[in-house]
Amino acid sequence: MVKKKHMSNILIALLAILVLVFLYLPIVIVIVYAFNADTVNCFPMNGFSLKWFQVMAENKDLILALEHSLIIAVVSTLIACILGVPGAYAMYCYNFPGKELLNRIVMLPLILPGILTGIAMLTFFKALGVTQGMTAVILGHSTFLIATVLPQVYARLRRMDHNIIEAAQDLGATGFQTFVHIILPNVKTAIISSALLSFTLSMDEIPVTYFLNGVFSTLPIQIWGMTRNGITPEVNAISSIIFAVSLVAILISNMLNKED
Amino acid sequence: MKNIFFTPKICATHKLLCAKYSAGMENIMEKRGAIEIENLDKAFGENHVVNHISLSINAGEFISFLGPSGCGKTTILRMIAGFETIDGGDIKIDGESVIHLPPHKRQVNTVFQHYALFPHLNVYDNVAYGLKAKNVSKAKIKEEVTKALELVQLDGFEKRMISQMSGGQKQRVSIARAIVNKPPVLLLDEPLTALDMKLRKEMRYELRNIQQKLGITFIYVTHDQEEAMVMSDRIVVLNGGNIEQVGKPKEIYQSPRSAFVSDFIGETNSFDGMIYQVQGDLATLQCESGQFMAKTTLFKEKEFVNISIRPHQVKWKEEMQEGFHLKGVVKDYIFTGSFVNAVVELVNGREVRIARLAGEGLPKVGQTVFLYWNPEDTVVMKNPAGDFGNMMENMDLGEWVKK
Repeated sequence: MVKKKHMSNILIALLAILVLVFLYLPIVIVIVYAFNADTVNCFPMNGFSLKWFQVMAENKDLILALEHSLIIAVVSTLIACILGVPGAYAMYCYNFPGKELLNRIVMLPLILPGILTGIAMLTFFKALGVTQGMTAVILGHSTFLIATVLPQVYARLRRMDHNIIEAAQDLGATGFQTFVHIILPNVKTAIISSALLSFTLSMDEIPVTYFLNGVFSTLPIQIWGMTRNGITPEVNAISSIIFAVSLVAILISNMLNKED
Repeated sequence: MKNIFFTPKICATHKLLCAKYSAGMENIMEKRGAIEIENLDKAFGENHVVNHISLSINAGEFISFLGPSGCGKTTILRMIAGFETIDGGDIKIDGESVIHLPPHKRQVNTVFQHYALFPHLNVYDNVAYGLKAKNVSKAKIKEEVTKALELVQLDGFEKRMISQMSGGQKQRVSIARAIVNKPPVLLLDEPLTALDMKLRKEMRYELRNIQQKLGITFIYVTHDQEEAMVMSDRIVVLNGGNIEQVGKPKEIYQSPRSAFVSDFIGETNSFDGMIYQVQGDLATLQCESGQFMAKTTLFKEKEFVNISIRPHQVKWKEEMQEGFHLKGVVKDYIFTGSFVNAVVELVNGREVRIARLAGEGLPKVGQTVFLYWNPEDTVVMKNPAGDFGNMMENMDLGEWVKK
């Protein structure tokens, strides 16, 4: 019996390792090739080099796209927080018909295929008279980023001791004071973690952006364009950097979520 | 004509009162926090939780709302604090109606059942919060917070986070956080329930001490009758949204006005019975378990009543006593420290509790005893069943006939 159990444990572990390798090996390869001295992705490599990072840094289009992406990610994350946090608080404070439905509908942009959201927004923005461009992309991103901010903050609010709100009012705090002094500090980590997640989501978003960007390019779209003529080590270099930044953001977000 | 005649006298009295008032101004300022509850009403849907209640609470009084869960005691407290809207009636604090004020504008502070401390602030900032919200100067805040923490014996704990405090300490922080604002009225919502027995007993005396030192009104909500008895000036016994009785702890214990009160306050043995014979102020009563005597002048023969007698007032002997016919068998003894609770089973299977000091000579388990008591120790109350004639019409007497 003991031996059998031991064997099955080993098999499960092996399977798990295989799955992980299947998932992460491609990323590892991209990172390794980023340091390749050669122009062609082949193994074994002909030596270690940082030159592709330099080539990347000199690619003006790529840097411009990175700038666009950063602006879009920062602004839409901010908008998502500014709308999502008070939204979550309102949902927490008030009971209104269709509250549960709203809680689910808010999640829709995350669940629906990006292409559908993209087409829908393109049509809608055209009807509104919003032209394709930076503003349209920021509006588009903000919309689906609320879906990451609002539910996370709402979940944290529900875990919070409701009595502290009454305690604050009891001590003479106005509604606004209560929100700033009591609510915000207690959901701070949820806000930061969802903001980090939003930021990374916005940084690598393609489908919605593709429908709304018009003439200018964001980082993922630029990279996508560059890979049409085969993957260059330059792309590997920028991918490695994006990977590192996303990893750090997600780790921080996870850590903050675990806290309390 | 008479009015004119009396006017000078009234004026004189009024002047005297005015003089007294201004002379004792400081004294009066100390004793703020009189509360007038008038015809207060509240329903949650079908559930009528507070049923047209009126009550006057004196300034500087320690008053307890006592009752089982769902009796409306917490709802009344929350209506005074402003967390619950009211359906009817009025609440006045020091003569001014507060029902239109939001919670943060009311001159009351609350000590919550589960502390409700701010987890992201340390002890000092928790206590300081009420003053900060009112934009009091930093120096003044420091002075007041230090005083409040001294009063609850937590000086030196300023920098601690709430998660590092024990249950008793948290409760002290929440008391300090409330009293630092110098409210005329402090509302306490079962503040000791989360503490262990020993701490709870210590905190009772401390709360009473704090109240005496501050001289403000304490409204204390509890379902623990012992707690209410020990601390309160007066107790309001609530049941099903109605006030059953208001009185000093001793009054409520010694002369409960309803079966509910006598049952809820302290342990009691209660019997449903019928008045068989009345001689002067002594009545002979009959019930399922037998016959006994009680002192009452309020009831006639053939009326149904409810009689209660405290466990420590029941006596026993090996032979029958005149006027009493309550035969039973000692079934069990329960030791509760300095007291022994004897359980005596009467002939019809009904159990009577008798409290004795531990160490007294006690009959053996299984021994037959005859119960009796001083008729003056009983409390006789109206039985909702009415009188014998009434009962004959409404009820099946099978149960009664059997015995």
